[in-house]
Amino acid sequence: MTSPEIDANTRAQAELYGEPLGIIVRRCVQTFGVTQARMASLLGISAPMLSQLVNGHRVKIGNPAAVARLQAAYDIAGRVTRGETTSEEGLAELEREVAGGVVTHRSTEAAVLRTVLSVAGDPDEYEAAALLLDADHPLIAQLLRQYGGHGRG
Amino acid sequence: MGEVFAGRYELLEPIGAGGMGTVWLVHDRRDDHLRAAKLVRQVDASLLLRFIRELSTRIEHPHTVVPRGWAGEDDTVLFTMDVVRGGSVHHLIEDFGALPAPWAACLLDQLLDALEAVHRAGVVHRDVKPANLLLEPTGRGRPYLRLSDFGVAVPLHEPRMTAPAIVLGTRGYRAPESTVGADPLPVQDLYGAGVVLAEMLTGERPEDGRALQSAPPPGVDRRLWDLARALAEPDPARRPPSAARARRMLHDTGLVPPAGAAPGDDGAEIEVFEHVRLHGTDAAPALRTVPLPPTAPEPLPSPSPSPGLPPGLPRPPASTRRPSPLAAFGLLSVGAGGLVIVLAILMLLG
Repeated sequence: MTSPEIDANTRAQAELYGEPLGIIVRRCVQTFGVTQARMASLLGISAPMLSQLVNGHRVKIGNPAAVARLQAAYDIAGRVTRGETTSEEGLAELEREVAGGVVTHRSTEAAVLRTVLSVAGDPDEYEAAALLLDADHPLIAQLLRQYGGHGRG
Repeated sequence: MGEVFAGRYELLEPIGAGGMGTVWLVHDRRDDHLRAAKLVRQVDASLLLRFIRELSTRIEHPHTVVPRGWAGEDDTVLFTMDVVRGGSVHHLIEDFGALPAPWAACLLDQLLDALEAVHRAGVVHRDVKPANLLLEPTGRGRPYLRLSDFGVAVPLHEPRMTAPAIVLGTRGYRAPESTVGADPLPVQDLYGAGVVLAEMLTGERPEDGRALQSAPPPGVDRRLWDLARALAEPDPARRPPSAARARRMLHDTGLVPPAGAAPGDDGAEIEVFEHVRLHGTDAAPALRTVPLPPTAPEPLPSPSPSPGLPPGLPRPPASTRRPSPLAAFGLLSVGAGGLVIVLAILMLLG
């Protein structure tokens, strides 16, 4: 890739993200005292991808979740720079943010209920149990049908 | 110079973590080749050792990575495999989010091709997930997928090696019936393939164990979404019966790029990077890796039924499969923990 192309890419990054990604990422890496490879894993992208972005060989971060994490990292780095938090606390906060916000590992309450019920019986058993409960405990019967069906319902 | 294992394999750098152990780039001093090697504790090595003895040669295929050799030292066993340097489908989804339909179709086609060979050899992989779908570093060209990590694969047609209560595989990708102790069957790998397809199309792993929604999410190709739904169907009897059948359904969508052609990406600039560099290590450039298997045209099989997989295998007794009620309470305390549910379970158990 020629250097005019790289210049064009970094300008495009500045328009998209406020500053070239090389500058943004370097600031985070220095503030948190981590390697660029560790930064990539915190952002949830591969090390070669981050390297391409930082070097201006590629303009855009393809994964929207990674953009959100970079935004969070940059905000925390800013607070560290302003002395509102320490580098260690900032890094710990970023790690929590990354772990909590990972969209690919979400677990809703409904999913947890289904999982719990799925270890104790199959949908047909829950239907049979619900039939027994219908007369005296209709709400519990409804609950068993709704969450015991393992996603069929 | 790095540590030398068993007087033969020089450990150069860690290149990944697989099930049960770390994967290293190693220099094989005997033939001067670079290989990938997984270091596994001896207690965890029995299935893989057995796999090498009996099965590796049978599922040798352009789209698989099988363990080929092993060496032992103290209480550790090292398994060697081809080095695959382009990361995995997991990395691809992390880097690019949702993949364009032709990319997803091209990758699924190669996965199903591999699964067909694995199942034909009478083996169930049991851990089909994006991180186990390795990629050759093909850049912007046609991707080249290789199914890896046969660490928990098992042969069909034989008594179970592991206790039925042990559920292997990875949460989110294993078929619902396998979590309640069903015997390993090829359709469980197809479930994993369906979840992988849905994840490639949306950039997110679908919710655990639930049927995929009937309407495709915004921007997702309906034909591929329908196939993902059919494969990730919670009821095994309603999934396509074989990898060959699923592959024909995939080709019927018309989205698999013609042999040799790179899939279109509509400006997304999808690229499979080189994740493991061969230069830059101490052992450069005289070393060779094992050559890439030939890029076969990946012919679609004739529409004959897939050969001899048994329709049903004996099931272990149901009583051994269920966790104790205490386990259910444990899960509850972790999760939503509604009192009503506790009561409901108590009533069921009583």
